Amino acid sequence: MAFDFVPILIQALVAIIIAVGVIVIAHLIGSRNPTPAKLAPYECGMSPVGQAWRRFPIKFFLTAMLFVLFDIEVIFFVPWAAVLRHLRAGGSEYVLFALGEMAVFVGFLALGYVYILKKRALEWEA
Amino acid sequence: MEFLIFSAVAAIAIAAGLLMVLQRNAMYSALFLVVVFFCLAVIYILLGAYFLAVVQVAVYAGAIMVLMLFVIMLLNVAWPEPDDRVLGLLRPLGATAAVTFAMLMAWALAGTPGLPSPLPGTSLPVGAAMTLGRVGEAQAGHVQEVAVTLFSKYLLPFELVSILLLAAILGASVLARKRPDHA
Amino acid sequence: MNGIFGLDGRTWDIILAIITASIKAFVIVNGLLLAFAYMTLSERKVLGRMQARYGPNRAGPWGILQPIADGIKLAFKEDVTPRQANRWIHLLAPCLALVPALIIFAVIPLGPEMEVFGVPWTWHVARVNVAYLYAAAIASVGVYGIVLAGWASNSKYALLGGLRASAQVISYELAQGLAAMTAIVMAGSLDLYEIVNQQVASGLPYALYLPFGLVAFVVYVIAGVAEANRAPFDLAEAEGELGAGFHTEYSGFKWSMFFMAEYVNMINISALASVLFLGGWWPIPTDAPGVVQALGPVVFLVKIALFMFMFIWLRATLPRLRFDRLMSLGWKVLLPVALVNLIGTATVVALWPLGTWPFAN
Repeated sequence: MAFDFVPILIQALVAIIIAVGVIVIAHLIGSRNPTPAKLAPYECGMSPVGQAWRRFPIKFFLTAMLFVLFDIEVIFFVPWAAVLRHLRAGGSEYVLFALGEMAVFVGFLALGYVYILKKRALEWEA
Repeated sequence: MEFLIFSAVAAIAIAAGLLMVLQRNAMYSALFLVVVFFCLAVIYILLGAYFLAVVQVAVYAGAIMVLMLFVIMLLNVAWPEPDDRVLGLLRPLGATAAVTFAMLMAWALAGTPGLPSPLPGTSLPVGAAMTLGRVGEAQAGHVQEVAVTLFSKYLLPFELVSILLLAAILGASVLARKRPDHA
Repeated sequence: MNGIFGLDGRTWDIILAIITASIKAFVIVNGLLLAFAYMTLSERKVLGRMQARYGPNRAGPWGILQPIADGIKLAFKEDVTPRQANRWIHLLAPCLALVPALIIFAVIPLGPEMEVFGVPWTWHVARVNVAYLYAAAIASVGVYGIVLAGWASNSKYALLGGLRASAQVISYELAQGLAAMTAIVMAGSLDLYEIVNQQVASGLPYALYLPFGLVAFVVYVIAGVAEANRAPFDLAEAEGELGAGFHTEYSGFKWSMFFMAEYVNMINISALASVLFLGGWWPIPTDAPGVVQALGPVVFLVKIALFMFMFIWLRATLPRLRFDRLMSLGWKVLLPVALVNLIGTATVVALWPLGTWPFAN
């Protein structure tokens, strides 16, 4: 029942209180002596050139996109993995059917995986 | 007790949703959207849909919003102010979309007579099927229940999802490909 | 318990459950932070020994007061927020890194459910039927801390470090998820208790179910090291190349919160690996007499400690990977290996005859 999750909520509250608490305490007792050089972003001791918020390689974006797609695949595995063992009780045809279903599902994704492998989308240098 | 939690979470969700829309800074908007996702997860838990609740966090907050953050960071070069012509075009479009969505919600909630009821049917998308599947029954939200429904009644949508994912993988790698003439 | 303070039995039970959960949550969170403090000391000690030196030995006997000295020093340090940074997100990022790390442990079953003088006692904060997926979901939220720290600092080193680290973390999450799925197929449940009980009942932890269990275990641990951004996968903070990666622009206690998050995540990964593949409190039987059952948490903590030692040992032994090698290890080796391994496991579990060990029911 939903009550099972209440302890998690409590632990989250404890964690948030501690995280905020240490920041507040450190804020109160920490020293404060800002100078312009100290507030400058780190750039190996040189004067910083421009902003850091600029375009960055599209590879990171591609990685994130592929991650989302394969993550959905992993999520679809979860209910299947949890139920597979219990299907045997109903007879072998059920469990074989479930295996077949997942084989088709994984088959399509394997096609996609081979495609991005061949297209060298996973090569960081390309 | 449940009503209290629901009201609090729903209020936070609506507030965060409004803040998300009203923010100028796209990064803040994204973070408020994450708050909305977490509130939705709590509401799923209250409905007894535990599996859906954790999937909500894992997929939307843990994967899709990370992608969104990357997009925002990627485009973070001095966000231009939208000019009036674009805004003039967008405002009526946005209003139309909002009204249509509100009507759709009202229809789905009330099941207006004269319109076909949205509830029965195998043609529902998988996500809706998982939500509507067995919520309210004793075993609702158990992973096994979701699995049995998903892999029998909603088998075709499930397999179609894999084709959709395949198309998306191909699309992603084509989009991000380095064009040979620029290499 | 009827009628106390004019409350009926059920309300009283709920209040009692909430008080118990609060105490347990407080103990677990502070226990994790204490473990973090002494992990930093033991890491420096062990690394020192591995490099033929002593490590910290001045603050108190054998240096046992060193973490306290470090903590006090950090609390008095100046907390610098760079001029160009986004103040609020700069402040939010360390919290977003630390809080998820601290709440994953709520679902870890440290020992068997037992009775002490007739009163039921459990070694966990919460038992939910989707426990594994909860842990995985919250762990995947931890990446926000890294991305936002890199972005909010508005420093080139921090931004690149944050991007690298987040790309690494999300890439290895896939292989890790698939490896964990192998244990779930074998147990047929997402409930961590059920997963441990299946292993204890069969007498063997899943890591010894050859070959699939062992392969999944190895993949899980490698991916776990990468998830925790630890050597040899510590490119996020490759100090020789990137300054300090995503937390370059952090100082004082906000910096140490990232440090805490990293170590608590190591503990979480060790605990989950112990549950999924080493059988939690195995070889202590779940239904043993009370005194023996109480050894369950001890066995569990020893397993976590062994994993933590492995993390340090790896750091002392292996050189850092190059970033392209790291990504191709995740995507081209671990991901397909974990997937094929999962399909293999599923086939064996599906075709295993009913009523025979170890997948009897």
